[in-house]
Amino acid sequence: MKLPSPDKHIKYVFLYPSIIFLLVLGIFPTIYTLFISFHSYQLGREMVFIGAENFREVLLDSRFWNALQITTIIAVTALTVELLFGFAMALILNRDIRGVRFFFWIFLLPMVASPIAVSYIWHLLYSELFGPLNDILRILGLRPVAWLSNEQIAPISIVTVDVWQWTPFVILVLYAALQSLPKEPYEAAQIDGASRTQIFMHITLPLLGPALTIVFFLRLVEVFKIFDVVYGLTGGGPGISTQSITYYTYDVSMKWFSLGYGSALSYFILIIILAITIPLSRVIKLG
Amino acid sequence: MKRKIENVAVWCVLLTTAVYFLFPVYWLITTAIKQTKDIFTTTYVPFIQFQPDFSNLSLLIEVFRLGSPLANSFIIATSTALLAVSIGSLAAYSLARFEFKGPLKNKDISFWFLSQRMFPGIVLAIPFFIMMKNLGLLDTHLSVIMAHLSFTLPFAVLIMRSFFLEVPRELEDSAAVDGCSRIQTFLRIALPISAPGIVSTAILSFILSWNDFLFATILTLSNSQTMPVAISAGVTPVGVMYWVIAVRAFAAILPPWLLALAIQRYIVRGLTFGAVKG
Repeated sequence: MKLPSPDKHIKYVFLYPSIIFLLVLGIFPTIYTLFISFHSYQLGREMVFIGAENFREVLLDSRFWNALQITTIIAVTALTVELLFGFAMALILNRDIRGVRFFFWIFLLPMVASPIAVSYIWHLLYSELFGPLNDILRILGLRPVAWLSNEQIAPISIVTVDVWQWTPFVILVLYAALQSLPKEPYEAAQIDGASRTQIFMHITLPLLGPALTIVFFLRLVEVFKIFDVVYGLTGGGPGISTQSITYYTYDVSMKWFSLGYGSALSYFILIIILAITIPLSRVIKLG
Repeated sequence: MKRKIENVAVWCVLLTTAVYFLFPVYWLITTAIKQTKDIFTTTYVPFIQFQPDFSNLSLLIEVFRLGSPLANSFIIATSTALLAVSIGSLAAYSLARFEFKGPLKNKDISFWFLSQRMFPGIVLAIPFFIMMKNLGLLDTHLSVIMAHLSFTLPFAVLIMRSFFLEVPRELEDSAAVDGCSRIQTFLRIALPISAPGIVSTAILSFILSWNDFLFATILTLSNSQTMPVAISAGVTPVGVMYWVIAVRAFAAILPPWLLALAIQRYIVRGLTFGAVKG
C-alpha cells in the first residue's frame, strides 16, 4: 500500500545532510587529490603544473609495480587461507552445538581489534631473540626463523597476521549463513539417501554461494588496502619486500612529502578498489 | 566407532584453533605484567617462571586524564559514532522507505554510499592533511572526527538502511492513517523498533573510529593522539619499549571486544551490510 505523500520533498530533507557531509568529506577531497596529481607538489614549495607526468611516472615506477605485486601476493594468499580455513571451521562449528558460544567470544576479539595493535602483538611473537615462536622452535630442536628480517619470509608473516585477524570474520559470517539455511532440502536429500559429499556439493555449496561471494569481495577490498599491519610489523621491510601499495603511497606522501606523485599513486589504488566494489555491490543487493 | 574418532578429531581441531587465536592475547597480557628484566627472557607462566609486576597496568587509569591517548580515542570515537548514527539514520530511512525518481535511483545512491565506505583512506589522507593544515586544525579532535566520518557515515547509512527495511510497513501505514507526518513516523515507529540495530550501528561505528590508524597518524601530533598512534610511539629511535606497547595494545583491544560482545547478535548483519542475517 503506497503511503500518501503530502510532503513530497521531505525525502530530500532526510537524505541531503548525509550527502552534504560526504560531498565535503569524500568527493571534494577526492577531486582535490586529482587536482594535486596533475602538479608537482613538494610540501613547503610551490605547486607546479605538469599535466599527466605523474601518472606516466607511476606506470614506469618499478617500486609501484613491486608494491602492486606484493599486495597481490599477500591478497591472494591471505584470502585463500582465510576462506578455506574459515569455511572449514564454520562447517565444524555448525555441527557442534555446545561450544559455539565460547568460540564466538574468542573469534570476536581478533576481528574487532585495532589492526595496528594486532601488528604489534605479532611483532612481539615474531621477535627472533625473545619471541615465543622461535622459542618453541628451539625447544622442538628446529632452527629459529627470521620472521621479519628475511625478504621471502616477511610477506608470509604479514599474511599470517591477516589470517589471524580476519579468519574469525569469515567463520562468523559463514556460520551465520549455515545456520539460516532451510532444512527442507536436507531432509529431502536424506530421504533420497544422498551421501554426505553429495549433500555438501549439491545443497550446501550452492546455497552458501551468496554468503561466500560477499565474504570474498569484502575481504578482497580490505586486504588490498592493507596498511596498518605493514606499518607495525615490518615498516615495509626488510628493504621494500613487504611494501603494500597503500604503504608505498604513504611513504611517498608523508615521509618524502611528494604530494603530487603520492596523489597520482593513490588514484591508481582508487581505481583498483572501485573495480572490486562493483561486483560487491551486486551481491549486497542495494536495490 | 567412526563417529567417536570423528568427534575426537573435531575436538582436536577446535582446541588447536582456540589456542591459535588465544595465544597471542595471552602473550600480550603476560608481557604487559612482566618486569622489565623479564621481558627479554622467554617465559610463559606468571608466578612460576617470573614474578609479575602489575604496576604497569596503572597506565590504564590514564583514561581519566584528559589529553591522554586513551581519553582522546574515547572522545573521538564516541563523537564519530553519535554523528554518524544521527545524520546517517535519516539518509538510511530515506533510502529504505522513499523512492528517488531523479537521474539517480535508490540503488545508485546506495552504491555511492558503498563506494565511499570502501574508499582507500590514502586518497583522502593527502587532501585532509593539506586542508587541516591550512585551517589550523591539525592535531585537534575535530579534524580526526571529520576524517573518521568519511567512512563511518556511509557505513552507518548502509547498515541502518537494512534495519529500516525490516520495520513492518503496516505499522508505518497505520501511523500515517492516524495522521503522523513522515518525521513523526520515523521518530515514533521506525527508530524505536530498530533500536537494537541503531545501537549496533553506533557501536560498530565506534569500533571503526577507535581502530583507525591511517588518518590518526597523519592528522595528530600530541594533543589529539589516539591509542593506535600511541602504541606505535612505543617504538622509539632509542629502543623498543615493549611493556608500553603491550599495555597500550591491551588497552586498545579491550573496549572494542567488550562492545562487540554486547552486540554479538547483530555483528554479522552489521559487517555484511545486512546481506547475511546473523
